[in-house]
Amino acid sequence: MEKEKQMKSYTRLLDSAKKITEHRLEEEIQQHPWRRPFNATAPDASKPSLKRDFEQGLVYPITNDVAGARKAANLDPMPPTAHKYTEQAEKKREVMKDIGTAKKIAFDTEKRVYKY
Amino acid sequence: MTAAKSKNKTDSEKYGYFLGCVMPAKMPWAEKAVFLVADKLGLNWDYMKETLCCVRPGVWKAIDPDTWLTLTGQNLALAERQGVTLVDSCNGCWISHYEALDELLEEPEKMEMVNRHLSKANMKLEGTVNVKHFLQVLYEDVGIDKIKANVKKPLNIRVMRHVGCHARKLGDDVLPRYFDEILKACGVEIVDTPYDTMCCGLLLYFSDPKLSIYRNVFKKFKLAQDLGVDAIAIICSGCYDQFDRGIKILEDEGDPTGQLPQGFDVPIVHLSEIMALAFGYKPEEFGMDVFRSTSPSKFISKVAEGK
Repeated sequence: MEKEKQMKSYTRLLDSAKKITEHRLEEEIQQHPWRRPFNATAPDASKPSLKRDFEQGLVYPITNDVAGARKAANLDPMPPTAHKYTEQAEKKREVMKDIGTAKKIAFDTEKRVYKY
Repeated sequence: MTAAKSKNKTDSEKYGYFLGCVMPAKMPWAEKAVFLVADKLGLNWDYMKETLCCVRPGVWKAIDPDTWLTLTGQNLALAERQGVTLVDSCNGCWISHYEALDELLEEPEKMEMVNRHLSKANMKLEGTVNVKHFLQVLYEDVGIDKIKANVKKPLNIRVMRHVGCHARKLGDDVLPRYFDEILKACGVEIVDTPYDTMCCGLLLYFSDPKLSIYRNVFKKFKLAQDLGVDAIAIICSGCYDQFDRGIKILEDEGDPTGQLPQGFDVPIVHLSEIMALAFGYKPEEFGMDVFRSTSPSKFISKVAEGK
């Protein structure tokens, strides 16, 4: 039976999750059918945004386009968030390290990829 | 009554506006309009600075509740240090701050746990911070009479409104009613629809994207188009993010459900923009016509004509 076509935007989201995941469970279960299956704590669809959250403290970046649009709206091109105050994102990473968040979601903070 | 119930306004109250993730990156027109409105209403208003993601309760609570409490606690501690009442207009940010503070005030051992982790970043949360929704500031602190007194130009437009799920946390008589009354004070006619309480589908997108877009978003879009409203009025940045995603998906992939064969051209407009226009500001003062997926030009023309 033909597999139902997924939305392109969602496929792109899952593809970007794959690129930052070392062990792709869905593929490995095909290669090792006797291995006991388990679900990763971080769902694939959330992985890219969780990574951005870890790196900049916020989910969306301020790109040149965004900065230009902010200027057109008579705003400072860089908002006074952790985008500008990057030390606050560093503090967040310290706190996450202490909680053990990266381990819980299998995120390698050095390589910036998910183990699975 | 919950522990985090907003305290009443004091004359010296300093508000710190929490931007969240979506507004600064996707809704500059709304961000600017919020500041124009706050200025016109004489509020002691500024950004809450150094802010992080709220953090998203729908994601982090499901993954690890202690991480959610602690990282949300970091934002609450920042607001305390800056001496401001933390104000959210995004329902997702507000529910995260409101519920985390509530839980931390009710459960001292969780507060202790959060402070143990925050101490690694030389931060501390006392629990004295006040959290308010922007609608509470407008309706409870400013008051509908003062809002009406500032309306120079009743807009005379018809909108379908989407207040968002988390805004119903305190009951329909609180934030959803404030939203409606403020819209009406600006001269807006609200068209009631059967989908007014339907979720935007933001979190559903992660698990069932088709249902999230084709049912939650496209059904609302179709109805808005069929009714011929001038705009869909929103308050929540999370809901905007989802509607914006729906528009982009429609443009890139079309609509296999056949609900929107002609596309979609109804602008998604933030309450602050409606207020700013009613207060007499011009669209270009807050960049209303730039950086949005659906052009507001027809809306702007109608407001300018005043018909």
